[in-house]
Amino acid sequence: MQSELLSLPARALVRVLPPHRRDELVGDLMEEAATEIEPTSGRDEARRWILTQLVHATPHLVVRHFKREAEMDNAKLIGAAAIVGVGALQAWDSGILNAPIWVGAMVVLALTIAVTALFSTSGAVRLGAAITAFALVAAARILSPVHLPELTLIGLPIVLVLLIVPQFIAKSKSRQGPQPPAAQA
Amino acid sequence: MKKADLPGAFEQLVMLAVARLGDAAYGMTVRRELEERTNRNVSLGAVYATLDRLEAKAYVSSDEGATTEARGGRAKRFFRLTARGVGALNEGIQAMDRMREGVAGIPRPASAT
Repeated sequence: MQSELLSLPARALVRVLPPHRRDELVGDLMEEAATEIEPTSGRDEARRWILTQLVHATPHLVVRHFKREAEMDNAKLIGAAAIVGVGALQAWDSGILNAPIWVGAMVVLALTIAVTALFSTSGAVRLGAAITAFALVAAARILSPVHLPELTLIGLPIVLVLLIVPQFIAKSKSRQGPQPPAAQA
Repeated sequence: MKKADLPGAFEQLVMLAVARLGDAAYGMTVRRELEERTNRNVSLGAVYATLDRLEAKAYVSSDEGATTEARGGRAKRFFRLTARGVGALNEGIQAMDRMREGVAGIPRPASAT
């Protein structure tokens, strides 16, 4: 049986593989093992070969999977911002967020998102973070039982910093001009 | 105007393997083509991760093939170069040639002259 080519450790690694490439990869490995390796080197060698390939393949594909997840497009960012907004409204409606500690937590979260997004090179990520941070600060301002400065004093600077400062830094870097060429051999 | 990203060295090799194999380009055949032509060990994981990246850039497209018994009932995924991929590959190869031009100790291959 073909499935016997997969040893127990190999089956465990197959479970770790991202689902969207799992079948193709395992199918390719089983086909090559069955048609090329097993006839010349035997079943044990074919099983070892599959396991070795899976050991090498798993980190590549898992890392790639997480990179794919991180490459969010604008539609997903807007969706994420909408989910945060709706969640905040639901939480407000339930009354759970009336405690000052929650309001403070939202402000801290907004500032954390803003500072973290500053290090992103993607404009879409910065825009999404700006919207999310602004929504959190807005929610904190609306819900606040304690006095907070006016919303514009907190939210607008965050948006401006996220959208404008990285552009300014990129432009100033490009104005520095090309580096002097290295000496040729 | 901003141009498409230049494919990296391994990406170029994978794209060339896909182009060489034509209708028979799927994970296993791409890996074997790379091993035979580059004399290097190539893992199927590296091939699939690269094909995944190339597909995200729209340099290759893929279609699901039929299942076979030798594959334990699992389908193949066939890859082919897109027009955008062909353009990016040519651009990458030409960029490498331009960079190499006139550099001492790294001559261009005879077939490229």
